[in-house]
Amino acid sequence: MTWTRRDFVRTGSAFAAAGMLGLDGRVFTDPYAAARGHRAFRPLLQDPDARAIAMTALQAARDVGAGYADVRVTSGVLRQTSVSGRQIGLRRIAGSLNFGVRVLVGGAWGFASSTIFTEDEAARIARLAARQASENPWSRLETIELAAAPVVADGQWETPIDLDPWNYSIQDQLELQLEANELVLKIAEVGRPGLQVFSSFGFSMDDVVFASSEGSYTRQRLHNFAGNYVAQVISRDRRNFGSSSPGSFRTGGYGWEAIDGIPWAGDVEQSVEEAFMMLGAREPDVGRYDVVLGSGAVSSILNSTIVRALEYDRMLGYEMHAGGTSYLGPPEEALGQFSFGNPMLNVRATGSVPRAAGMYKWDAEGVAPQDYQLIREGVLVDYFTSREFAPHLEWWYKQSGMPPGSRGTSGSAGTTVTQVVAPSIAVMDPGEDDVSVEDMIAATEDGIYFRDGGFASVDPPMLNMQGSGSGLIYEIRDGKLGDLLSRPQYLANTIDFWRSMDMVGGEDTFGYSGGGTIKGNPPQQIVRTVGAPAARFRNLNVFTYGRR
Amino acid sequence: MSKRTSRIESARTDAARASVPGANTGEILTKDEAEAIARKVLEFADPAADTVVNVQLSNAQNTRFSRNEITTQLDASLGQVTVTSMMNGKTANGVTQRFDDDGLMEAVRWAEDATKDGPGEHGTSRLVQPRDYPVPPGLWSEASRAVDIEERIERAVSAIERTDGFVSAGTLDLTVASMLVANSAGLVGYCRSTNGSLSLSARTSDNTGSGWAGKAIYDFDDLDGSAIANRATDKAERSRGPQAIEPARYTVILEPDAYAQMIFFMMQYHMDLASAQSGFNVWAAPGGGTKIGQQVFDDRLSFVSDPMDAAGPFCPFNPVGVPFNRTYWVQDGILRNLSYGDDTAVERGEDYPLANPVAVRLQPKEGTQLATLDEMIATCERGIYVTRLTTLFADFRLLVFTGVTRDGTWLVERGRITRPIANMRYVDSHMYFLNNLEMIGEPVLTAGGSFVLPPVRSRDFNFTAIADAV
Repeated sequence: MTWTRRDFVRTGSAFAAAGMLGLDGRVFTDPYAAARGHRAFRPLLQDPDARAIAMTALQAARDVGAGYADVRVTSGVLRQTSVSGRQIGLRRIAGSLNFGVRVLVGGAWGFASSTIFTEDEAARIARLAARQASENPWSRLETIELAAAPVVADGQWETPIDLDPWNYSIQDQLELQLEANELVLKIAEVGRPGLQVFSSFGFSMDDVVFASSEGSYTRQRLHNFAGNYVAQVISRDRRNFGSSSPGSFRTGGYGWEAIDGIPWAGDVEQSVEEAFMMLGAREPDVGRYDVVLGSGAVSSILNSTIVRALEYDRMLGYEMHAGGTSYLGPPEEALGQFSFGNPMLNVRATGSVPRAAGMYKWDAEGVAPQDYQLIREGVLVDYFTSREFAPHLEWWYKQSGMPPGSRGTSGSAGTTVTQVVAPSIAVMDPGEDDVSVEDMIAATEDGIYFRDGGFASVDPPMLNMQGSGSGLIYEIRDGKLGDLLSRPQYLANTIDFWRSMDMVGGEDTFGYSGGGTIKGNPPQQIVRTVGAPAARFRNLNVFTYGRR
Repeated sequence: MSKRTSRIESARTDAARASVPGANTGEILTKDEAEAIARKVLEFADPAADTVVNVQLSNAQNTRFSRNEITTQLDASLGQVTVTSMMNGKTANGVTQRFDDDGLMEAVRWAEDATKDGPGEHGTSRLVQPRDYPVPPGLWSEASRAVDIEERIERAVSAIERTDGFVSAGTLDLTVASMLVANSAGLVGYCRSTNGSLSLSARTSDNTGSGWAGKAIYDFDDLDGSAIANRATDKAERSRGPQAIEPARYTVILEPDAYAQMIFFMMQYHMDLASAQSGFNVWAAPGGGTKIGQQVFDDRLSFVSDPMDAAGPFCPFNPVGVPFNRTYWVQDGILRNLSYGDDTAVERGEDYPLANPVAVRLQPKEGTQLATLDEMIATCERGIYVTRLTTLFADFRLLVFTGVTRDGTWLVERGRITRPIANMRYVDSHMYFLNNLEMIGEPVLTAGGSFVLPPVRSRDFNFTAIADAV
């Protein structure tokens, strides 16, 4: 019996009728069962289902002459709760079940995806992708050839976590969240009027299958905890605003341990104190300052001005009309030659950082992320690439004795959208000497210290930046911290900025922060992690936009 | 015909031969099909609960190009059912992408289980009572629904071909979507829409000139690829070899797309009454309370959301069925309304909340002399003409932005454009420049959709630095 897609949406029960499976009532072949002890909550994707979808799509792609095809299938669940004070704002559980098929036909890409989980739909989607490619008039002009990559025939991986969040209920999650909020509310009640607390917790688990026409078949179960926990206060005249989050509140590749026992409870009082301190901050005097950035601020500026500029497709102009281009090109002029003029700047990519948000074992093309150097002693030596773009760099890899092939940095915001080049985990190396933030402050006469996170507005080629900070920002006078400052902004040319870096913190100043990229059409936000030490930058132009 | 174009022609012939049969773009749900799914959910639901179900199916299509070639394409059939369950004084959502019975039951169970035990203090809302929603004219186009890959590629190619001699990149998007909302009080609302856009930027081969143009459409037949490409290449040509000028406060002539992102940020993050009352958004009054009733913009300006907007129609209800009516957020420069939930609606004796569609028209007051961009230039003694801005929050709570000009910026002197200028950084906000208004034009739908905005000429726009990269 064959079912058309139309029949499917009419009856809504074609799953069973067409021989595709409902998720309940079947023996679940959990590849991770041994490692996990027992299952709770719900079975995610059953492998026979995913395999059937994948193999059907791959076969359909082959049948219409695809030279290459890959299928990605996601079955996921996300549990989100938000609480403002004692008021619950959101209790939400969202499941996802979808797949995307990418094909190379006549040397051009096609991509299609669907949430209708039948074999007929898998075949239609594969053919649709093939048709896009075959009707692309450029397909035969400059054909795409993929870099060779090892076949992973039976890969399995799961984000390592301590406590399975799906052994707990949404009520358990809310109980803990209310308890956590109460820590701030208690402080508010003893003489801190105007203090508010907001928290949002989200646990996700995604089973992602990758299958390619070359014979790769991998299954990954990706766990993530995303959220925030913020104490905020507004001055009585509403002019000033303070907000702070405990430093020990963590997000990323965590299970229930992220919130179990409220690990950040001991930092709440300090955090509230800091939110109030921000109310007293003053605006800086315009001028030139040496700027000391904490790890979070360096990570964020690194992400905005270097990490995203290293995306090979962006450098080629794929984002020219949207997010912008990159100053780190063209490769034949830039690789081995472009220099920030600062040997202290060393940036590398890595695939493996415990607990990092966005970590994976195989990328969106089934390639394991490599540990490799991007910028060595201030000089550009490699990009974030993919199997499509790696062959462009073969000349360079040969010339410099580097291994050819994709670096395993293809990604996407889910399997309903096509793969793009996405950074893996980018790391700026700490200095070899044991320089502390205190050392940097002590060595600074007239400066500003951005202790916490930061952000930068960059122009489309990422060459001109305006940096700023969140959290506590201090002036530095004669080697000591002075007043708290409100809204200082520093302006710089990206290259001058990194060249001006004259002190790099040691291992003890190093930390990881959120990073990632936004690109593509439809726009994809891909969450990743960036690591950096603290550092000092000389003689930056600081101003404030003030108020009117 | 250039050599390259003729190569494309011959490749096209090959492509036609290679065309894959039986691979059509997906379909959306009719009202009956979507309602059948919603009825199942309501049957699966606990009769003791108030239940709302939202059923969506969309087909997103995209053809993307860069370096004058189509690089990636996408066809995505995306379905989603959201169940909202209200019981025991609690509200919860279950969401699924599955339309089969097991999937629907699972979503119902997720929502209902979350309302059963555990902590409370999350108010429920009243169900929206059965009602008829209007059908916004122009929101749906048969021509758009019928677009297939071949036609989509043709349209993109018609734009790309016009950029010969330039380096171009851009995207053509089209989304055909259906949404149905139903609830256990008997409400049923159905809406279908076709939204598309084509935007591209073109650079001169010496990489010193860049131009951008884009357009949003509902009817695919309104999408003129070559006209959009011509606008972009014309701007690129005219912005070639820019020279820097001193950053300072200048009069600016802003195309609507230049500040659309600012309006989006206002509508998305700053239109909530409760947030204004507690001091967290831009409409908080300094001494307490909100700025409702106060003048906040030039008195020639109104912000009005209306699903029946002739230029920018949208679905007339929110995901749980709350109607979007014609709403003045700002009328003649005075803040009139901010969105609120059902608690406030009950207090005010209203039948349902005031919902925010995040789509708005900036409407000049009747009788205002409207000017074209050319007239704004012709009467400008000295100013800067801006095509496009990047936009990032500099201060979220004060709604202040920073970014740079891009893709075509010119100096205007004594009534004419005299030369292209290097890009500059700005720190400013429509909260300021819509109070420094000199001239205003006819509102048009912006390229990102949702916002119908006029070109404006304003005094004292704050350029803070040179950002001279292209």
